[in-house]
Amino acid sequence: MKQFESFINAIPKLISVIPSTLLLFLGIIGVGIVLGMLLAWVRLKGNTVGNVLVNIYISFIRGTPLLIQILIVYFGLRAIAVNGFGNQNATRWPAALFVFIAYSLNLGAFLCETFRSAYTSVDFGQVEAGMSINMKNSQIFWHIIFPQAARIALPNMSNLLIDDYKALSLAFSIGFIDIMGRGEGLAGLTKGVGAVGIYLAVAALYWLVCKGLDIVFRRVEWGLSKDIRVAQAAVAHQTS
Amino acid sequence: MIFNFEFAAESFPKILSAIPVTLLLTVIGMAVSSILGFLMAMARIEQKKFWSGFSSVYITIMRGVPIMVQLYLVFVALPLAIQSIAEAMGIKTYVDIPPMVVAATALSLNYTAYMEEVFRAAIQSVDSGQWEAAISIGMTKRQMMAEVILPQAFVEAIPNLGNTFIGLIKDTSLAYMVMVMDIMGEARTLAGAGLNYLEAYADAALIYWGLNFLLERLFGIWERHAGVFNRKDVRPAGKTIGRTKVKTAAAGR
Repeated sequence: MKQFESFINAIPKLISVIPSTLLLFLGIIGVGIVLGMLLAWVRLKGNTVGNVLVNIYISFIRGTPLLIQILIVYFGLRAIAVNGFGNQNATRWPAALFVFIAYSLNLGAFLCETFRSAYTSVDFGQVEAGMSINMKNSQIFWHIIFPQAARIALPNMSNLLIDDYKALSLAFSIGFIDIMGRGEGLAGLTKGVGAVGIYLAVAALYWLVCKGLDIVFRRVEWGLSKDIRVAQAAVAHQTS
Repeated sequence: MIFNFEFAAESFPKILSAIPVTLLLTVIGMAVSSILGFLMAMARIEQKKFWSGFSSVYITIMRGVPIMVQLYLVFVALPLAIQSIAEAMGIKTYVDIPPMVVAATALSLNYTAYMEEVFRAAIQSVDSGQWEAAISIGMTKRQMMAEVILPQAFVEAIPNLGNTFIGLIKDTSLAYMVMVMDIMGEARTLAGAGLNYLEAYADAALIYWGLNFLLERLFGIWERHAGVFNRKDVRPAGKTIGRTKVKTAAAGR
């Protein structure tokens, strides 16, 4: 019963941190997508040097735990600011800043692969069709390739984003307060009594937010595939 | 000084010596989750009502909750559970569970969900003609699975097994949160004395990177060897093997 009580008591306190984490998460998504597109562009169109550099970067991000990346960004940036530029204020920078940087860098590398494979999976005939009616390269990209590639990339992207939201739970190791960080704080306050209930509440809230994100992404996918569905319906109507 | 190279070089071999702990944790997690995941996958393939319902609920829970939260939950709940069971049996003890067991339990439970999906996808990717062929020559269900379906499914599963294995190695880095002295734990302990966190974690990152790079290569080699029957470039030239020919013959009739 003690656990059940602490479960109920913890829920409102845990919910209160969700809006700010979601806001930070939106920022991470924005920067991650831009970075991912830039990296994918280098890998597709860049010269050899750029390609090798991006490959090493992606291999590093994929080959090391995110937890270490967070800690390296945290301690690395502070060391550069304090010892390199003599900025003593760096030790008081908010944890959210480091989380923002580390997660954007991480997400960008993973999205790069998704974007690249989506880009290459667009049929080359589509590009040729654009060239045949004398479209400029930028027009071909934005009007022909991008809408199709976005649709292909979206399911993978939404999986990555949901994983990234869950991974925010690692950030309490540098003192960032999301659901997990708050839960850990609450469990610490009660000196471990009712900790099971608190962590169960944390788990339930993560699960709910992830389900919510899943529903949102599905809606977006549904919306983006609208013209495809219209076209398929038209073909089905003609052949029947 | 931003980066203390001397400290990084000095502590590198010490952190390197913690690799066996990380690998042990990975292997235990992989073994347990493979067995449980395989059983769940078989239950879902054979559409056993209770077990397939159970495993789909299990998977949504395990995939919707961060592994960090699961680790903490096991950390606080496992001793409590064992203690209450012991008390119910009338034994008065103080339960102290080794951190390695906590970490291995949490990782195994979490990765069971992933392994179930790996195995299920692999089994379902075996061509339906193979199932039909096995039934047509009167094989029992057990024979069909053991001699026709599973050997092919296993080869299909190797790339995903590799990815899961690497994912698991990376996730073992969370185990230092419950005081396991793996690569991360060793790095943090070494760093703590002189606050050389950046250097120690950079060392740890290099070690994880090298380990995963090596494993990726190994799984690649294994995949090429195991999948030899499936490769286009080693098939005898000029012969059609497989369903293309069969299908056209059936259509002609």
